[in-house]
Amino acid sequence: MFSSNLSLDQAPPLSAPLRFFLTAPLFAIIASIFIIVNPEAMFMHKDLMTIAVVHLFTIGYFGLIMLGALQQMLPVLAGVNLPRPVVLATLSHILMVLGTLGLSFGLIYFHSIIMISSLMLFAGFAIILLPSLLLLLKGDFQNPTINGMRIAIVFGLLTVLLGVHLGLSYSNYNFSVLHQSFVDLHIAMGTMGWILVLVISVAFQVIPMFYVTPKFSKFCMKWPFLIAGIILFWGLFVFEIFTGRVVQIVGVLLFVVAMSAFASVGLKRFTQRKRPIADTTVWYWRLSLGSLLLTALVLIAKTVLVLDGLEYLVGVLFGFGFGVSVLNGMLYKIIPFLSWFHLSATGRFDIPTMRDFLPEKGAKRQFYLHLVALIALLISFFIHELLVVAGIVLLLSFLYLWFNLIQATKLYVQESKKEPVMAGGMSWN
Amino acid sequence: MSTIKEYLTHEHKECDSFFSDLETQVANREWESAQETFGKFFHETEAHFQKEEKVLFPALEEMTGSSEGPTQVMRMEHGQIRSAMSQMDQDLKNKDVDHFLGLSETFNILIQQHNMKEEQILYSMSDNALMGRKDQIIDLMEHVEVE
Repeated sequence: MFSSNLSLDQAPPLSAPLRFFLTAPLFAIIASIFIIVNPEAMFMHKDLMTIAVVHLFTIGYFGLIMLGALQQMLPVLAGVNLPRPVVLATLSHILMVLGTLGLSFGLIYFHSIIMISSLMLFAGFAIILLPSLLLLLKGDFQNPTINGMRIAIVFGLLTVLLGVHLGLSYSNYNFSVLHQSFVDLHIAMGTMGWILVLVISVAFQVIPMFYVTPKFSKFCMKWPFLIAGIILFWGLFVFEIFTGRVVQIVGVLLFVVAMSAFASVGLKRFTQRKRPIADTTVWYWRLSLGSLLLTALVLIAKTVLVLDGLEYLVGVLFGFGFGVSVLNGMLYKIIPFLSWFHLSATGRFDIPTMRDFLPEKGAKRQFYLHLVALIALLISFFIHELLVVAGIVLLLSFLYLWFNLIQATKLYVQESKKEPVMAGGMSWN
Repeated sequence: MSTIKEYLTHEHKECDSFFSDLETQVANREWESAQETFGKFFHETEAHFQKEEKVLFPALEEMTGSSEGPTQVMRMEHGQIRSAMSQMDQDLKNKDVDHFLGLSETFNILIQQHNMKEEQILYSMSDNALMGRKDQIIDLMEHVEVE
């Protein structure tokens, strides 16, 4: 029978996810400015400026886009919808924006606001993540993406909770003896448990669907569970329940295997596309998966060869090369599609196509800037003086991305003001 | 005998395969074969929709006593898909590659999203809700007269 909470409803109102998508690039723009202003800090491990930049990307960019996309994906994936979508989106969005700004500026300038900002971020995440998790747990339907998203949401919430604890430490400069263990766990859960598992789970659906490729195998579908297991093992290591260098190397190698397995299978899928058209999003996916492979290599070098100072490279390759690339590709699909979709649902007939909303030329040019930024960031590892230039290219690439998204939104607003025409007597409103 | 889910999911795959052929042919400006593929694609899709609209949805609606809800949303999406197909037809007649490819991009996501909702949710529900009448429903769908 139909379960009571089932709804194959179209989607939440466009304004609910769109506000997250349109504000996310602004945080990346602020991060780029921080890099330009104080480039040397980026090479100093644990410098507060670096921590601020990292969080502008992980929370401001990745976090916001994830919260936006989640609202959109729930009805399609699991047949569930968040209640009162606009109210939840408004509350969460305000808290996320204030919290991200407060945390990043607080870390650098005003330590007193770090605590309240961390709490705002926790609330901002929880307002969307908790109801989503409950709906995903309750839902009558299971698939590998839903399973993976449950895991990613749990790790996301745990990462934020640990973050609140760390925020408290920074705000009153009182660090517990276990501080470093909490930091290590926060990083492992945030990068592997939240970001990687989320991208993997979404890839299971999105790659075969958007690019018409063969599906991921049954074995691949188990990755989110395996990664969750590796994180638990790693947790025992960072809290020194398991000790020793062998344990450390085994832990890192397990992460490396998980990352490279996903990246290789993903890259292979893009060679098996049935749709011949290689738009910019295909290149974004390839760059993202390629960067993930390189991250794995650098991690091996860092751990097995005990090379220090490679945190910068890991951060650039994983955060920007893998994370930002895949998100940009997704934004270039989601925003034009949703614009079209919401106009189409009002019965309009002659709607601009996705390529009118986001011309391929603009997307491609922005991708080139992004690619140059990545290369410049990598070269800066060897020539520190170059980081200012890399920062400027980075800034330009995000400004261009934002411009592309704003142009699409403007066209949507313009079109939605036109008088709707009922197409062929179809009965939707 | 197969399940409703297997039967209808198989039709989605057939339509997908026609669609990717169609897109390739338009991208290569092979207009004659594109016209022919579009004909097959259009016919298959329309037949599939009508099987759902004339047999499966009414059967589900009878069980729940309501024509609102999931089946209503599916009908609405069929409308969106039909309207996009008629624009593609127009683009083929005008040999407008750019507009066609812009539209087919949209169409691909629209239809994949629609199929996903049906395959992962609606069809599984149908197999559960209509368990005893499964074979009869498939037989009725097999013999639907496509208008």
